[in-house]
Amino acid sequence: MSAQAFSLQDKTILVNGMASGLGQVIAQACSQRGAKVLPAAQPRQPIHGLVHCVDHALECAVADLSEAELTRLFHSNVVQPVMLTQQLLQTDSLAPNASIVFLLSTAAHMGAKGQGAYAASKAALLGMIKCLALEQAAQGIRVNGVSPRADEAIWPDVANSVIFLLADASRWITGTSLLINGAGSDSASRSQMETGAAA
Amino acid sequence: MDNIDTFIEKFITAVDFQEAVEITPDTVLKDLPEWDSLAALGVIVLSDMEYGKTITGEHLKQVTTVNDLYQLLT
Amino acid sequence: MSVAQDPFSLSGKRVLVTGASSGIGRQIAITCSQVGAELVISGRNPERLQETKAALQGEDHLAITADLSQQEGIDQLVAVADTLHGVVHAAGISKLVPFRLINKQHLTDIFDSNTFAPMLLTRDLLVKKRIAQNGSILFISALASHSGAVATGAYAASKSALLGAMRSLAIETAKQGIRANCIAPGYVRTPMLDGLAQGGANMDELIARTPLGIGEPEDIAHAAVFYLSDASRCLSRHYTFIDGGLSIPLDIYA
Repeated sequence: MSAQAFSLQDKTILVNGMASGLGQVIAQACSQRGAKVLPAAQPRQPIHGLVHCVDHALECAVADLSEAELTRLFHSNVVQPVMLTQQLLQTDSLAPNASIVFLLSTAAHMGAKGQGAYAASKAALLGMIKCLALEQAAQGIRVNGVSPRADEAIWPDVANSVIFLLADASRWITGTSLLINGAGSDSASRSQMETGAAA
Repeated sequence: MDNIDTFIEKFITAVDFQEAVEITPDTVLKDLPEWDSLAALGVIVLSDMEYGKTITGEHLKQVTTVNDLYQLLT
Repeated sequence: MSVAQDPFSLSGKRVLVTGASSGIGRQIAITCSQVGAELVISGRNPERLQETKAALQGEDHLAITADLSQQEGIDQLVAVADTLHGVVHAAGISKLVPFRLINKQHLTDIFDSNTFAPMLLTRDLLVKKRIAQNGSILFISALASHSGAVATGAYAASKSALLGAMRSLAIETAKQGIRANCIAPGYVRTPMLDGLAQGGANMDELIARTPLGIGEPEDIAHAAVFYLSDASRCLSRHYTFIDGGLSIPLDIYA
């Protein structure tokens, strides 16, 4: 029974942004755990899990940021996933007890030079996650995020955290985000842990 | 064992009355304006820490006056 | 996917769970055994600890009756622990006491069990090199650490102390690949919750405020399995609320 709690058998998972590198890794991992993975909503196909993998980066000091760039970034990182979620809610496409996962970033939680626009777009999703989680709790729908550091080497591990948040094992977890910091497994992530901890 | 006067002193400390009230052995707990769940909790903790007796909210519901409480705890 | 490759399996891992004689600790031990772990369980009550041991799936589990608020209890456990791939500090006590009634004895009791025991046990396990490379240490804190509910002064302090301890520990053990994390449960159906109700708390009201309703020990146990398994090998220094959404509308970061 407990092993089943971590399975995605008989679940249909919609991966928004499946074309991206991380999106592909997540889609493949979900499918290996037994899920039926869709790149887009289909009529009369209840969705048990929705993973938003859209993630556009922008490195630019706030002093140099143009309004057009900022608007474009917010549209792709925030407006697109939020409006897709709204559309699925309005069409009753999400099954009761469905799980929604947004891809955030460590940048949503920690400041860094040149990351203002990107960090703000990801932090915007944090706010959305909490409010949507409260709004949908009565339906048993859960809303969470994963916040990985920028490192392709940990994509399979990001996928495992997503699987945990999609699976029944996390049925009492909502409104939160899992920070995937690399756990000090290499010198870069160890240094980030140590400097991030200095304060 | 504490006499009723000492007990009333400890009772007043445990309940933390903001407005001074006169408490006698005949005072009815429910008539106290500041008798609420935190006050009841204070009495439960007082019972445990000062008198070594474990009581519950259910016990408290069966108590009417301060003297009843004194009898229960001591 | 074979069992050996399953990142969510605990097969081949030896896991110590303290506080296994009841509540969350008991369920964590049982769930870990169901996903393949070999268990070392400890608790203060020998009868109930044996009941937990009987409920574990598989053989070769070890049950040690010990009071970890005493150094002798810690010594006893460390002596037989052998190599561990996971440690879950689930032992703990709670008692509602309004701040104005807190005394030194109450603080000592609460901190001995909830803070000092997990820190000192971890220290001794590390010194004796009982925790394997890539091992995972998990502390069970509580939502009270951040919410500071009424009459939880000592309890909330003892649980939030684990946050600082865990964060510092995680950096120090990162080089050995040992991870440290905290999960902070909200209101879960356990004997401790019954105790709070007996102790004068209005639990019905608190439970009604939880968006996803009251939690079951299994919900915490599944999260524990995630933090112990290789699926979370890139997660360390985490402090995660597992509370059915109860903390979402609270001003706990104000």
